[in-house]
Amino acid sequence: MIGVLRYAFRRLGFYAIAAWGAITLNFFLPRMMPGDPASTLFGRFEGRMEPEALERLQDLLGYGDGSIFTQYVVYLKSLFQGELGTSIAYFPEPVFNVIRSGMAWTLLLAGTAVVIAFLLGSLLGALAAWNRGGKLDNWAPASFALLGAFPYFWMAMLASYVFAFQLEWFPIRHAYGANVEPGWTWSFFESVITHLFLPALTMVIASLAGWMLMMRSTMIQVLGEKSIRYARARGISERRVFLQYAVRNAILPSLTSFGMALGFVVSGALLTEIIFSYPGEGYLLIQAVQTQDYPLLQGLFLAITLSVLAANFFVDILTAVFDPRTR
Amino acid sequence: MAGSRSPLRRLLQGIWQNKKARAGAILVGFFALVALVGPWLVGDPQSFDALPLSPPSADYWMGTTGQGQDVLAQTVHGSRQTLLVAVIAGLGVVLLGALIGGIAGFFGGWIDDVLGVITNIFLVMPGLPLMVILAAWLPPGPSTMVGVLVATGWAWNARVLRSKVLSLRKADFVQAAVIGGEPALSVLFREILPNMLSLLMTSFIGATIYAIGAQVGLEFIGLGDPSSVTWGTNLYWARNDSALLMGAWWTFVPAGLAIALVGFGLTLLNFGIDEVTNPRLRSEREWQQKLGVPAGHRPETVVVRHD
Amino acid sequence: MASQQGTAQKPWWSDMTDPLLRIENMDVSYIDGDSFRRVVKGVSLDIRRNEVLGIVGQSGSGKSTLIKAVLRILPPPGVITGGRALYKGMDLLDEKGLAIQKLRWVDLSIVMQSALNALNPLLTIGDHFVDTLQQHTPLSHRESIEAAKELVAQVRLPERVLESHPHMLSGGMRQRVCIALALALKPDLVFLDECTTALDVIVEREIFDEMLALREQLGFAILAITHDLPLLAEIADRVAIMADGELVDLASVDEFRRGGSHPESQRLLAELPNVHGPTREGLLPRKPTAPDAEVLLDVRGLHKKFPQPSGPPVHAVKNVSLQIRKGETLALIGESGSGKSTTSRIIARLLTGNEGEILLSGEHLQKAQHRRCPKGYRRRVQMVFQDPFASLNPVYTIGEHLARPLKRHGIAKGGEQIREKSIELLEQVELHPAEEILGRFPHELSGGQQQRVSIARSLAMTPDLLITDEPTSMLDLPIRMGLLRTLNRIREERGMSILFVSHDLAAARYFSDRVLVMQDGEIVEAGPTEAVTQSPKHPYTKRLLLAASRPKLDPQ
Repeated sequence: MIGVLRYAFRRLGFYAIAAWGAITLNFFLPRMMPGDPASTLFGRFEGRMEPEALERLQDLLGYGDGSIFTQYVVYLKSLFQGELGTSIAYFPEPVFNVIRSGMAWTLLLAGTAVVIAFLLGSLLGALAAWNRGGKLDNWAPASFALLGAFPYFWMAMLASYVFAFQLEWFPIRHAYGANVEPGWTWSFFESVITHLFLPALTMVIASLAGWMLMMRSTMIQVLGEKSIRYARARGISERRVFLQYAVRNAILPSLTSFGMALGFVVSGALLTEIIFSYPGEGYLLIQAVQTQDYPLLQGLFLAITLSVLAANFFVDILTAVFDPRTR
Repeated sequence: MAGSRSPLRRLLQGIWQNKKARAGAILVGFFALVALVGPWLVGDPQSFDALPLSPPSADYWMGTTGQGQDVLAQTVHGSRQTLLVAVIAGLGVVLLGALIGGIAGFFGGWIDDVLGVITNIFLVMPGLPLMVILAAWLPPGPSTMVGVLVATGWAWNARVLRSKVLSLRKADFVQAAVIGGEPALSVLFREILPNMLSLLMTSFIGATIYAIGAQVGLEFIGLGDPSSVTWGTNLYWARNDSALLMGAWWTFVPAGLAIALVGFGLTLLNFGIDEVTNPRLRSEREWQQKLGVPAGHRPETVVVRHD
Repeated sequence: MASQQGTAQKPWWSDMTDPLLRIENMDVSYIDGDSFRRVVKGVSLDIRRNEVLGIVGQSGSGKSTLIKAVLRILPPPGVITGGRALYKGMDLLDEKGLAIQKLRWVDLSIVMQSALNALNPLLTIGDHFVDTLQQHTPLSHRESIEAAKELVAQVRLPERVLESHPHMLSGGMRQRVCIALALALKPDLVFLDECTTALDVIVEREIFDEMLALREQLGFAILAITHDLPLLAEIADRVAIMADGELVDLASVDEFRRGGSHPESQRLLAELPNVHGPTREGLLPRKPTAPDAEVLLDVRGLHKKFPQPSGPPVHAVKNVSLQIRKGETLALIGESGSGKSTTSRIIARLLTGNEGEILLSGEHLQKAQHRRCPKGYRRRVQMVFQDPFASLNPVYTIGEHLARPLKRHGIAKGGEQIREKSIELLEQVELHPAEEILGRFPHELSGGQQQRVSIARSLAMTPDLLITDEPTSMLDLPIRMGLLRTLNRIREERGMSILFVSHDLAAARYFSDRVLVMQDGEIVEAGPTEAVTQSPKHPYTKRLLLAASRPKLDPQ
C-alpha cells in the first residue's frame, strides 16, 4: 500500500504540471491568436453588457491593464477563487455556475457509457482471443471495427432518428421529462434512465470496437507467453488460467490506454450530448460556439481538461494497485 | 532460395497478399478515386434549384437537402476536401510525432525528459475542447483545420515512435554503426528509420482515421467553414436544417456512411499490415487452416497421427 | 559431492526393469507452410525410477521439443505426429490429452528455462504455490501457505519470498522457486529444461547440487535437457545425445566419458575446452605473443556510475586500469553484473565513463567522460557484439554492411574496388561463396555466418584493437571453437590485439595470453592465463574455476 501511495504522489507531480500547462495555455491562447477577434466581440456586446462585466471580459481575453505578467497573476488569482467571468449566452450567470450545472449530467452520461463499453468490450475481446479462430473471433473484429468507424454523433443521429423519432421508444431530447420535478423520487429516476438510455447506448456501440480490439490483441499476446504454458503444465484449471493468468495480465495495458482514451471518449460524449440536447458540458459547448461566448468556452475547456486529468490520475492509481511492477 | 528479397519488398508483397489489407486498400482506393474525378461527374453541389428535403428519386438519387441542394453532388464534392485535409493532417501528425518522438528517443537524457512531459500533457488533454478553443479563435478554413488537427493529434504518435526509436537505439547494429564512425543523423536516418517503416505506415493510417473523425466532429459543431462542401459541413447543415425532425434521413446517412466506409477501409488496411508484420497473428491463421482446429492456444499439444 | 553419491547408488536402480516413462517411436513436427517438418524423428527412450537422465544436443536438435511434447505443453506450430509415451499404463499422447491432465504436476512436473517469464508477474510467489496446491489437494488457503513455507525452506529460501513478486527476486532465487514448485506435489519425474542456462556458473552449480540432494531425500527421477555437456557428465546416470531430431547415442555416463559410441558424441567431446590439466593440443592452436611488445591501449582509473531512479547510483566500474599490448589477446572474465561489458563499452566509446583516461599507442589521449570520439580512434578500435542477428541491420544486404565503413573511412573508392575489398573480407572470415553472400540479407544466414559478417565488418576498418563481447555465447558448441580459431588466425595475420570479454574461463584459457578477472566492478585478479587458471590467488577466481571445472572428459 505504501508503494501505491508513493507512486500516486509521484504521478500527482506530473498532473500538477499538466494542469498548470492547461491553465497557462488557456491564458495565452486568446493573446497569441492572429487577427483581433476579441475587439469585434466587444463591439457586439457594447451596450448589451454591464460595463463591469465587459471589463471582466477584457481582462479575461488579454485587453486588461498592466503587463502580461501582472495579467497572468490576476488571472491565476481569480481562477483559484472560482472566478471564470460572466457567461454571454447565459448572461448574467457566472461561467462557474453554468459549468457546474452541466457537470453532473456529463459525468453521468460519459461515466456510464465509458464503464459499460470498457467492461463489455474487454470481456468480448478476451473471449474472442481465448476462443481464437472461433465464431466470435472471426466475425467480431471486422464488424465492430465497421461500427466503430461511424462518428459518435452520427451514430447518435441515426439512433435518435430510428428509435426516438420513428419508433418513439425513447424520448428524443433532454435529460429528464418536462413534467417531472428533479428530486429523489422514483418518477424522476425513471425519467432520467429512459433519457440516458439512447445516448449512452450509441456511445457504447461507437466505442466498443476500440476496447474489444485492444483487449483481443493484448490477450493474444499474453496467451502466447510462457506463464500461461507454465500454469497449464501445473495442471491449473482452464477457468483459472483464463481469469487469473490471462485476463488479469491482459487488462493492464487496456487500463493504461483507458486513461489515454478518456479525453477522446469525453469528446465523443460532448458530441452525443449535442444531438440529444442533453444538458451537459457538450451542449453548453455548442451554445458557447454558436453565441461566441468566449468566457464560457474557456471555462469549459478548463473544466473538462481538469476533470479528465483527475480521471487519469484515478486510473493511474488503479493500475498501480493491480500491477506490482509500477510501484 | 530464389534470390534475395529485401524486407521492404517482402512487406509490400505481404500486404498485397493479405485479404484484409487488400479489401481495405480497394475500399480506400475507391473513395480516393471518387474524390479525384467524382466532382466532374456530378452536378453543382451549391445550386439551390431543387425542392428542399425531397426524398431520393430518379432525378436526385440521394434526395435533396433542406436548402434544395443535391445530396449526391454534395457527398461526392465533400469527399475531396475531407480526404485531402485528413491526409495532409495525418501526414503532419506522423511527421511531428516522428520528429519529437525520434529526437526524444534518440538523444535521451534531459531532452527526452522534457519532451516526454510535454508529450504526456498533450496526451491526457481531451482533444475536442482544445480543438474547439483553437478553432474558435482562428479564422475558419482548411489550413486552420489541418493546424488544429496536427496540434492536438501528434502526441500519441510521438509516444509510440519514441519507444520504437528508443529500443532500436539500443540495438547492436545501431551501436555497430556508431563504432563504425557514422554521425548521429546518419545513424538515425540510415539505420533506425528504415526499420520503422511498417510502424510509420500504420501510424500514418491511424492518424488519418483520427483526422477524418476529428475534422468531421469540429465541422459538425460549426467550427469549420460552413460555406465549404465537406462531409462534416453536410452533417452540420443536416442538423441545422432540422432534417432529423423532418424525417429526412437521406440528408445525413450518405455522409456518415462515406465517413464510416473510408475509416473502415483504413482500419482493415491497418489490420492487414499488423497481421503481416506480427508473425504470431499471421502464423496462427495458417496453423488453423492446416490443423482444422483453432491453434492460437490450446490446453494440450495437438496430436495429428501420421503413423 | 552430490554427483558422487549419485554414482554410488547406480546398482540400486540398474536392476529395476520396469521403466517409469517409456517413450516409443515418438514423432513431433512443426507446421511449415503447407507441410509438416519433422523435428523429433522416431525417438524411443526409457526413463527409470530415480535415475538422472540427461539429453544433450545443439539448439535445434529437438531435445526441448521432445519433452515439451511429452508434457503436452508444446505450443503451435508444434504438433505430435506419432508414437506413444507410456506412464503407468496410460498413453500421454492420446487425442484429447485426458491422461496428461490427470498426471500434470502430481506425477510429472517441469522446471522451465527462464523463471522470470514462467512466473506470473502480477501474482506473489505465495499465490503461485496456493494456486498449484489448491488445484490438486483439498488444502485450505492457510494450509497451502504453511505447506509453501516448508517447500521454499527446502530450496533454502526465506519464508518472506512468498510475499514477493517475481520481479523482486534474483534469477537464481526465481529458479529455486520454480524447483520448489516442481516438487510441491512430490512427483515421480521432474523435467529440467535448460533450467540454469540463463544463470551464472556459480549459481548454476549451487542449484544443481541442491536438486541432487533433494532427489536423495525425496526420491524422484530427473530428465535434464541441456547443451552443457560437461555438466551432464557430472550429474547424470545416463546420457542421451540428440542430433537433428534423432536420438543418436544413449549410454551410461562412464561409457560416455570414454567417448560414447557415436561420431556425434565424439565430435561434441572433441570441441570442449577444459580449465584443468594440460591444454588439449590442436583445439585452438596459437603462438604466444611477445610479452615486451609495445603497449597499444592504456586505460587508467576508469569509473562508471549508473544513476538509479530511486536510491544511490550503481557503481558498475571501480577504478579499472588495464593495458593491452600489440598483438596480444587479453581476456576480461566475469559474471553478468561484474562490470566487464560496461568496461568494454567505455573502451569502445559507446558509453562515457565518469572518470579515467584512455590512451591509444600513447596518443589520442581522451578523458573517459567525454562524449565525442575522434574519428581515428573509431577506425582503430572496433567491436563485435554478442547477438549476431541483432548486430546486423535487417534492411541491408551483407554487401551494403561492408561497403559502408569502407566508404566512410576512405579505405576503398568506387563500386568495383569496394566489391573486391568486400569479397576479400568475407574470404578472410571464411565465408564462401563470398560473391553470393554479398547479395544476401542477414535473415538468410545462420547465426555463425552472421557473426562472421560482423567480424568482417569490423575488419573493414583495419582496426588495431578488436573488442569482442561474448562473441560465441549465442552459438552452438562446435561452431564456437571454429569462430575462435578464425579470430585467432586473423589476429596473428594482422598483428591485431583482441580484448576478449567472456564468462567462460575454459575458452579464455585456450584463446588469450593474459586474463583479468572482474567482480562487482573491480579487477580482483590479473596475470598470464595459465597462472590464473592453474593457481588462482583470489577466492572469487577460485570459486569461478571450481564452478567451471568439469570431470575429466577424455575422448581418446
